[in-house]
Amino acid sequence: MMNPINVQSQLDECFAVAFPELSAAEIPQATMESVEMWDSLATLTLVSVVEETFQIRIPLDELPNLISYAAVSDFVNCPSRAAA
Amino acid sequence: MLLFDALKTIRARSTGDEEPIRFSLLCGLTPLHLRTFLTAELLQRMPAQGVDVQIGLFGDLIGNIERSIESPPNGAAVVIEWSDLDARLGFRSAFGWRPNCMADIVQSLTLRIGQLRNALVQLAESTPIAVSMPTLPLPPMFTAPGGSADITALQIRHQLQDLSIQLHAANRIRVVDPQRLDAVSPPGERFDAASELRSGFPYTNQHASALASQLAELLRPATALKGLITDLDNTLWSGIVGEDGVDGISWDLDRHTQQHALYQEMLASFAEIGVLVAVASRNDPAVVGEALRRRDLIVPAEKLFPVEANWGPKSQSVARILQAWNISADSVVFIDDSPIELAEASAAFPELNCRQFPVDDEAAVVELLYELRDLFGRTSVVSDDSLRIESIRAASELKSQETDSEAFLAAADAEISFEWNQPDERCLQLVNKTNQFNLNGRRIDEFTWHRQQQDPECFVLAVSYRDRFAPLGKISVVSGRHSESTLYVDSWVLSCRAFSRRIEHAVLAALFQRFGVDRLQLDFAATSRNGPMRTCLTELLGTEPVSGPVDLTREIFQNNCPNLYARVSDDEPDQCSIAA
Repeated sequence: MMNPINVQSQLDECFAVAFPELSAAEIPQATMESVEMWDSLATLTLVSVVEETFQIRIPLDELPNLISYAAVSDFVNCPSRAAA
Repeated sequence: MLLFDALKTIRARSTGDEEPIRFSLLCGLTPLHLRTFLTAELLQRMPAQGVDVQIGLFGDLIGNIERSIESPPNGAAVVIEWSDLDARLGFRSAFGWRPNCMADIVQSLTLRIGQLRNALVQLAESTPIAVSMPTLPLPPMFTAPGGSADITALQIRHQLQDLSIQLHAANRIRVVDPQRLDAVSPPGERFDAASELRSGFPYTNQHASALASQLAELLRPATALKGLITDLDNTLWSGIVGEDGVDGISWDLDRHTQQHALYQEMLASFAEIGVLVAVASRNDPAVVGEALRRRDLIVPAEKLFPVEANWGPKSQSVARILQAWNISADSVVFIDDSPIELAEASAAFPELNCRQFPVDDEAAVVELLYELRDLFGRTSVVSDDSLRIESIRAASELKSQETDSEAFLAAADAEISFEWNQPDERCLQLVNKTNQFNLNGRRIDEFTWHRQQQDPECFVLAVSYRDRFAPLGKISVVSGRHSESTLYVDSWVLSCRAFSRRIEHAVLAALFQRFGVDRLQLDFAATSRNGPMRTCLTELLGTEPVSGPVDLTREIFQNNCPNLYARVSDDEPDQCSIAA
């Protein structure tokens, strides 16, 4: 079981490198609509970084759902959805 | 490199105001993470500069190259995949896999490859290029049964092989070594079918990272090391010569000591391309002398200089070798089978690259040989490279006879040759690897160098030297700009092999004479390693220079210039406007 505090800090790091223009305070509120640089290619980058960091595979079919920090966080915290 | 680390590298360096160095990633695929990895790899190789990697249009490799010709970047990474040569060879176009298409694919490939070659050669006229040939598997479109090579696939690969050879022959084009890429990115782990079909990015992250690293290495190659110091017992040969005797040491297949023969052959090859090779051995010098006279030694004994065989600490032998070579420890590898000897030398010279010779481990020796080849690799070998060891030996003789330097220089029968505005590869090599007699320590990339040569106000002077001891080849390069009464010297290097011959004074005299100016403005910057340049300027100016423009007038130069004895030959004597 992943430590929720560690997960959050690692996820923050993922968002920080994928969207360097976001401040630490803006990251938890980030959504595809609110972040100008967050387009479909940025999603691919974010997903790759999340996969590397958490050692999981995110099915491509999930990508349309990963449109906010909260959605990515939910996905990472749900082990049954993320294939190791 | 992980994508996370690549992004972090880019993020950490994105704060500077300085104009970034512009590169192009030219490909027909969606560059996605390949661009990220390439940017990060280039940044790691250029710690003081920003990098901007520009991309082109999806699916238009040749168009992207042609557009780059109009506005050339400082360097271009060109990534070719099968679909760039013919859409039928890719996975995003579902047609052309039927047997009756094969002949047409081979035929149209010839045309496409010709276009690609012409575009690349044209781009290379203005910028250095790193090219990777297709790295992905061909689609399952051929009719031969599994495991059997298909004639169409063989013909396609053959055409690509020909293209690689033609590109490699072109100036400023470097081709990614497929064997190296195979080693760091196994062919079966490169293709990401889902990513290719959904986003047009066909690579796994691991492959994109490996490919970017290879491309960056070709665009910004590491400076090759200059010297290798080797131990003898259980390193250059198997056995301990003092105990086993001269005939008891070996390097052959029969006694299972072939790994030492391979090592010797590598040292012989290094010596041929100008790498300095010396010996540091705790041994009886007479016994070592006898062993080095063995006629079956693969590395010629005369290529080993100096040979330090004594019972003192290795660090002292290393110190004497570095002094004879006149180079710093960070340009040198020391190889010894003994970890204690390596540790002792490393403690004295922390920058020395110390490697243990893995006795009795053939696989590790082969690995070491690959590593050494990388450390001493050269993109080209010029004729002056083979002169290096002879000139060091000559310099050593010169030092030993230096009782009366005036008399010695007068009797040296020296000739200095000046060659104006015809820079070859050796000139840029000298500028980028000389540390001690270097005006400001600044390195110049191929693109900038090439641009400078095209400016009519700029000049390049290449200087060669020979005397009765040996020819030194091309040993100094000066470049700068001429404007009215002042000559601006932007870059000036002199090889450490050519010190103490007053070549630097002859160079300055030539500059005053050719351009007829009364003042040289030298763009000097003190570095941690250019003490010899500082000393030269201090002697000429009468005061230590500070970093910034340094003025040297004709009058001061003439007052402080020592006697010059060398004959001068100038390839453009008529260009001289005022006699010095």
